[in-house]
Amino acid sequence: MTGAGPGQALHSSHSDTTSGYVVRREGGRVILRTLDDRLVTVHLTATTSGERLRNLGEPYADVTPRLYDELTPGTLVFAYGPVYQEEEGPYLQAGHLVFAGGAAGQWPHERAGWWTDQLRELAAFYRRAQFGERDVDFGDYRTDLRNSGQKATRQVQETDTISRMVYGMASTFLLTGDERALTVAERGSRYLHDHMRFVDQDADVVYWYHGIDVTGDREHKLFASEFGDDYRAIPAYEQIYALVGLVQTYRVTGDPTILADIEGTVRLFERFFHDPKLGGYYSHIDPVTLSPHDESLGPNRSRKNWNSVGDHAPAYLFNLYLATGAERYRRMLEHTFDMIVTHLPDRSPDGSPFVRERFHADWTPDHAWGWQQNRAVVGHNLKIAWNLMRMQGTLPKREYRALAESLGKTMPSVGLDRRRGGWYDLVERIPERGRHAFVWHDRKSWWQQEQAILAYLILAGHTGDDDFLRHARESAAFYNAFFLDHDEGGVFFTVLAQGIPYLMGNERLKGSHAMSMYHKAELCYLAEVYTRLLVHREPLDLHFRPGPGARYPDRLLRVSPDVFPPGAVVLDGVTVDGRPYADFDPTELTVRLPDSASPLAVRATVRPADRRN
Amino acid sequence: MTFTASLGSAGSSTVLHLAGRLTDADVRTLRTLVDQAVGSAPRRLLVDANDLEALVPAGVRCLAFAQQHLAPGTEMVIAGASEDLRQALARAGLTESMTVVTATATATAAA
Repeated sequence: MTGAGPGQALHSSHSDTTSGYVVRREGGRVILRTLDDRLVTVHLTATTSGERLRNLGEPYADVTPRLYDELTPGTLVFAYGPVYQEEEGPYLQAGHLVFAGGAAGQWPHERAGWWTDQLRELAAFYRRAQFGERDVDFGDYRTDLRNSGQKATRQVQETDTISRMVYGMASTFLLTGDERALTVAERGSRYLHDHMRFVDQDADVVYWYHGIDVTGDREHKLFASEFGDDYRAIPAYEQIYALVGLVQTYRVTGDPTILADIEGTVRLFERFFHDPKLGGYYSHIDPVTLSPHDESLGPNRSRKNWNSVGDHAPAYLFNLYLATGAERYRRMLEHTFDMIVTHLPDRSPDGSPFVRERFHADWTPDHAWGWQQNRAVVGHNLKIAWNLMRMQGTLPKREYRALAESLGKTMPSVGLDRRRGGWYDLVERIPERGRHAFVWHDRKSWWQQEQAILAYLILAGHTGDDDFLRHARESAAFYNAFFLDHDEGGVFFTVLAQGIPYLMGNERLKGSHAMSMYHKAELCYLAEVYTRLLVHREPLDLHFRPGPGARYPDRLLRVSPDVFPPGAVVLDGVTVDGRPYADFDPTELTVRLPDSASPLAVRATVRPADRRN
Repeated sequence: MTFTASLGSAGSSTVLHLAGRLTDADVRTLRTLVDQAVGSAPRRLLVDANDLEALVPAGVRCLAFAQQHLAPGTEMVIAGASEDLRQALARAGLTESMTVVTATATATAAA
């Protein structure tokens, strides 16, 4: 085989996405300012097509006939097409353009209701996929859903995927008041109670089965984890996410049965996962002895990790604190964040900008574990920034804010694709040749985009920093442009670096672990909350459905949509069963519930404190 | 009575016989036998609990662990379960996953 000559090299091409703001158009040439502030030229052709960013459930918004009109300065454009290598540099040919807004500060995904509408569509997709048009019966639930939402052949119901779906449905109800979503949340919660729960009366704790296999005529309980990382152990991660839907449903209904299960599981964390001596929570316990030090745990023996310490807060603990106002949960939150700011940042000389994620019992970093080694999950760093800023709302500490802002300022240079937009997945913590190398690939997963959007929205909201707001907007634009599955419904697990869906292996599934309706619903719920209350300073309605036996401390329904600094958000008005209701505290965001023999429909209108309607 | 456990077979069943009071100190023994029982890929696992006087929660977790690692379709039977054991299995959600025959029922059947 002979080598390619110079001419052949010049004619080689690949296709790629370029993201940037329109500076000007000169005929068929469009000058874009990229996300990392470089000027590039994109060349339109006679067949270049274009569309406006659209939400799930919206029709294709073709702008091909008026491309020139759409290319107004300040508009963020994702341009995809062939890239030719030429002597003077790459020649970018635009095959397709996505217009993501931004001109004159107008972003489609910041329109009031954008994220709520998206959540409504997601809820419809998952309800239809699991139950069709039938009544909601979780006996029909299956974890494995194909890309279309059709059930796959494996007959397994995983606890966490059910709970994640329950979370999504409860969140849908919070924003929309859709009773169908609440029905799914309540029945899913009951199913978890009836089928997935292990009550240990002697230890006074509750723990959750990994799942059940319903292939035969009786339940085959999966006690220890079936996942490779956690095989034959009880990982903290799974017990944490078992609570995600239960707590969000309890927020809405005050169901005492759900609360009892939640409290029993929190006792499990405190009695068997917590390290009272050196702090934090162990990552795994043995399924029989419930010890984190059992030899059977192998590489997971006496270990702590980001998930076992840091996932409590976003998965259930903030929401449990919001629902109860209980000081013990605030203290537990404080402990997890104290551990994070103390042990996770790399303070060594020439330390990595990424946090450390795995530890031995004494907090010595573990850089030998499985796939993690000395590697960074970009989204975990963003998740830390997001949740530290939330914690600022109830217990501000200089260290929390410093780490959150530091991560917020550092991550774009090491975890963001500044040519195409979007956030990467797993990279080496230590740079070589001036870059943090990709470990497996340069693809992007949906949940890490969520972390970025929420981190930068809350950072922007609490600091007023324009760079943080720009990152939030660009991250949301990339997510909405490339992760929404307009054909089949739901969102894609992974896209290639340029935004094309990657539909291979487990990444083509839509109901599996992590992909079930948590991250994408949490994004919709909190992006609507943050955008409305922190960025655009608009009011927001929330819906609750406390039952007659609702068990909230002091019988107070707490309606704050998230953790905000005291006085930042106020409760502006309440209706109960459609009628105005006056017994509420505007600054504490609490409603004293009236006695009732049936569930109450409570609608709470919250607004930024410095805005008057 | 101190705890004793043994593994045997009866026809196509693997039989795990438990007797006495199972304490935390005995769990390792039980676990080893459970692993052996599961490892033999039985068509049916019979846990003979007629002589079992009491067991700690870790014992129930051992049984849950055994149930999980049996091949799909393999029947697991707890024979001679005391009321305390039956209730512990119910709280663990295991009565939907294995056949629990209480001591009274066993005695009646044997009569």
